[in-house]
Amino acid sequence: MSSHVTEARLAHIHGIPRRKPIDDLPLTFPETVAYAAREFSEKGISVLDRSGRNPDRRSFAEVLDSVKQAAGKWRALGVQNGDRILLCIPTSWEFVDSWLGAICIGAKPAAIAPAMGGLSSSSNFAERLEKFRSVIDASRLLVGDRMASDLRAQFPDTLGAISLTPGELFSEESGDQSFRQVEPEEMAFMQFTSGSTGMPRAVVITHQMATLNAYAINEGIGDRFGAPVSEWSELHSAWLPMHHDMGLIGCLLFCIANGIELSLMNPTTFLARPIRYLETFHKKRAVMSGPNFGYQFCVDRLKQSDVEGLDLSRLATANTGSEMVRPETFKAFSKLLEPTGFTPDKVMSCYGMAEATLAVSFDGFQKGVRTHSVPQKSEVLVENQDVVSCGFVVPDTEVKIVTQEGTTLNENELGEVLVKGPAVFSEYYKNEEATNEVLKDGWLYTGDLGFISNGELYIAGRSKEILVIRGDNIMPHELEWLAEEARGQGESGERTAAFSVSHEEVGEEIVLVVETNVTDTEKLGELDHSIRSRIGRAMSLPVHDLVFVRRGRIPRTSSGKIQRTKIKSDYISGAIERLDV
Amino acid sequence: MSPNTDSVLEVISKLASMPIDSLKRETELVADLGIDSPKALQLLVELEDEFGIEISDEEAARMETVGDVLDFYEKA
Repeated sequence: MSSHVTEARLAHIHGIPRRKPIDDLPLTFPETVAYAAREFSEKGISVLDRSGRNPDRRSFAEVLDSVKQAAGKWRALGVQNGDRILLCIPTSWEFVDSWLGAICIGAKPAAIAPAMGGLSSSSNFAERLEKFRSVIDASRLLVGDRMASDLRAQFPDTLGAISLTPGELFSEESGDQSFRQVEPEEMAFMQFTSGSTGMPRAVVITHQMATLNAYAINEGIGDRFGAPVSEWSELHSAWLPMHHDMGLIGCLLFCIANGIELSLMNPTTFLARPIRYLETFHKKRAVMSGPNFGYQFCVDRLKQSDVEGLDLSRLATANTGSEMVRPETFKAFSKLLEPTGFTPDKVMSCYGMAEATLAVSFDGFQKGVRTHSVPQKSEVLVENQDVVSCGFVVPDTEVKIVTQEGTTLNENELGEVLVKGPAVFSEYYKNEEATNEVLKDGWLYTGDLGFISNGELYIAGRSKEILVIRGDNIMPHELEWLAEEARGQGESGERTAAFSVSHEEVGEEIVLVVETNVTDTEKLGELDHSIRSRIGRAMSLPVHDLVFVRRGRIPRTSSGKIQRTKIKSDYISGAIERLDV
Repeated sequence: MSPNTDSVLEVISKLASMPIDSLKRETELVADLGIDSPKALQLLVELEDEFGIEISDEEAARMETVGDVLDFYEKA
């Protein structure tokens, strides 16, 4: 493994060597879907029903047919090359067909979370839909039946007018089903990510970025087994939502491009009955994947009696990324699954982000979760003192660690993680300013803090202020604005700060600090309730701790911006003077 | 036969670890009981398993308060 380290001292590492040549592999979606149908005709995709059973399976040859039909249906509706489409439906064949069908005629889809299990009311949801729609100026909206009728009733001229249900799409007379000839450098689709201003950003993913990253994942996960995943995997089973890069790229596209059998489970099914997900791996040489949250969720919900009879001894690996990896979670997960033959060494942590299409690095050792202490104290708050190795960088990709001034650090020094490679993005859709903030000379400034030790990448935390709750990115502004709305017209200059703190077992939870002149305990109690209620209804998120402080107690910069990292460290050290509720 | 109010409340109370008499119709699932989306789905499964009536995702998405859950069963 030491051959992966190209520069021993500088914190700058290069990708692992490729085991499988990609010269003859397709670099566009239309070619990839056709290639899978031709080369991997015996493999395919299964979509499980709501109970997590009864797979509805199609071979890749059948997938090609259904994607062609979807392409024809989109065309029949007048959708053309370049049109943006917002997809807001759960994991289903309708999702797979409509997403791929749109891409294959040159339309540009982007997916967001459907209103599932969210307990969120439709008016709040419409606001959210419009926010995402406007970022990509989508001319079509694919939503569920109930949502479509609500939108048509409430917003007949705007969101309602462009709404379409899967039933309506697929009952269209089919138009021209042929795939468009596209160039690898063209945009294929977009994926949303949180922006620092509270508005989402749409990462433009080209055909080439997506396919190359799918091939890179095949190598990255395969590295520790001495062969790409496609050469040994019997199954890839996913519960991750399709609006999430780890679900869309890391599961769906990864399996189509590399010819791997895939099983798709709706996230609500996983959350309702996590055992059904584990059951899909019974006696299979397979890859499990998900954020830390998913594994912790299994630990919280399942008992050893639930996993009785389950055989996970052949499971190749349990892959985890997209939020901080917690060693305690995997200790508990391994203990829970011990009777099934699951061993802790199967765990593989990885690192990636939407701006790099998805995957950047994978832990290449079969040693399970390995930690390293954070090298040195820095100005930036690092909550975790021992952090997990995210391993080696995928082929053709580079990672380096730099200071705030941009100077490359040495190994074992903490700084910002930068990524460069063929899957790193080149623009947020129509947002040059945001692009220039994070992309300089081809290097993606991830905003994550990390270090390199022995040629391996360790992620220590975020320098950005994003909250990651159960693998979902949430911008502090969203919560702060809701809190300010709920408070109503407060005294001018009263501010609110949102951040998350990590709790050993449960992961990250939301803390809100609210400035107020109100001192009356009863009134504060009412305020407390209305803020929690507003956030609960709009985002389905409980606030772990709501702290009222006197006006002016949230630290601000000289230009008046609130300092969330400062107030967070005050909160953790107990230095906040909270008002009694 | 639709389940009685007390048995529905009992399921909610157990899941939220809150005493049954603290649950009012206007009690909000997320804000007051800390039932986030994974817990909400667990609640649905437990209600389904207990009473054998399936709740669709869209119906579930409309339940914001304890009263909304009770209403669902009163109509069922």
